[in-house]
Amino acid sequence: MRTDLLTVMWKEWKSLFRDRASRTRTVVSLLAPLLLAVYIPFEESARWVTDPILSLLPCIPSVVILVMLIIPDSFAGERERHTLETLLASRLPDGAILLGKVLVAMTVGMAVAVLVLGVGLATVNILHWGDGPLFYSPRVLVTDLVLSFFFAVITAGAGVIISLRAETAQDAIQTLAATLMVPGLLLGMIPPVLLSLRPEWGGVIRRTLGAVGYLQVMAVVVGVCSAVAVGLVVVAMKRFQREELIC
Amino acid sequence: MAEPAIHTEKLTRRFGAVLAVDGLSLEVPTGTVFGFLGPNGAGKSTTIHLLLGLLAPTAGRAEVLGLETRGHGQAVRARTGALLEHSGLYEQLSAEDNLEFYGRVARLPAPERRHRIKETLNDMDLWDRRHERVKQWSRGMKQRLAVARAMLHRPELLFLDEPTAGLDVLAATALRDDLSALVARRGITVFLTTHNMPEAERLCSQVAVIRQGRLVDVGPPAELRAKVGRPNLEEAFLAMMEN
Repeated sequence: MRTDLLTVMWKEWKSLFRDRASRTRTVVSLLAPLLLAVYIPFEESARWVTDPILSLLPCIPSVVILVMLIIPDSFAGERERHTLETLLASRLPDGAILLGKVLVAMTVGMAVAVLVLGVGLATVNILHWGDGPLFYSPRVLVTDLVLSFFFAVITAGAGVIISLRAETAQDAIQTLAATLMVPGLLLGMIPPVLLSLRPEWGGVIRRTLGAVGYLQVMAVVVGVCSAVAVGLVVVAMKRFQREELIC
Repeated sequence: MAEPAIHTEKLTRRFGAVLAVDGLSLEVPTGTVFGFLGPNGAGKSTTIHLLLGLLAPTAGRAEVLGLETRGHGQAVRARTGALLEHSGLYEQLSAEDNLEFYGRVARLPAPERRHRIKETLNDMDLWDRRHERVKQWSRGMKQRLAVARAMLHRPELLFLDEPTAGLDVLAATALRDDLSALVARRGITVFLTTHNMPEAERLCSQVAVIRQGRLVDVGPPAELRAKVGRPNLEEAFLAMMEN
């Protein structure tokens, strides 16, 4: 399985970076998160390396965008270009094809998260030149990397499920973007609306959050993300069956 | 007597209300080029998918190289090569990278892989253009590369689904010549679907004709011609389709 996995990853990696259009799309999609990774440290100064929320702002979108571009092209795009049938007619197991493609997308997503953190750190250190080197607190680093990982898995899982049913890679990207925007919008809109209707809830929430520590919050977030990620991966693996794909 | 390369018994595949393959019983002798002829939608591609273990039969069974396709699909695919309806080449990659990938898929060790890539590309007269991206190539060159890819791991059985469809006369002739030479040199079994009757007549020692998923007749081309009293396979085929 390991050899087959590496074989699929080798092909995916080559396809991703040999195609000029794919390279251009990747670079363009990185511009906004990288600009944020300069702008936020510029505005917030040393808080960038101590407040996990600040660095999550460019990190998570960059991971989601990258994986959202790669996965549909890798699955729906392969079917659209008529290469999937030949790949399925080979001796490669279903699991190696699926995981090989997903791992490349996740590796690129995580590499971009690290790049964003690196650019932000460089900006802060340039701004504080002479104060001695600054580095992320362990809390920031762990939060960013763990959540980036989970968002990569969630985006990849949802991407595979959607791509297997989409006519084209473009359709898959649009549907995936719309699907991922819904929970994002709900999370962004519902709390302010509720707080405007019930201002007294604000105090309750602040007291509750103040009473719980970082580890408890992270445990809840990681628990929810794990459940969603595992659910999506299991569904993706069930759907990625030769018999279903060839029909 | 050698075990047949392919043996099917009442092989059937249904897609909802559509019966794509209907009780197909066939025997393909080892080391022959076997033509599988039929009009569009006759069930030729579905039969190949069934034989490769990509689809499970609704009823009946198939054995390929002595392996039951149901449950041994991966082993069947490891010992066979396939050029399906589309070339299946990664057009953004070079010819060499396409073969490198499928050499890795076949788990050929690196030195052996390099040797076979060179040998196969030389056989197809494509070695000098190995670094070019496939998308720059003509359809004829792509089909030759696709045949090279299907043959790279030296399969015992090769499935070719209309390999010369859409090619001009020169490209089709070149591909047929390459195929004939490779088959003669390697002694493999070929299961060939085609609409091109002169091609089938020239390449195949036996042909099977199917219509609406059902086997109409099977035998050497000369025998089929004689049975319906027609001078060539094309006219014999048309006569069989009319009956």
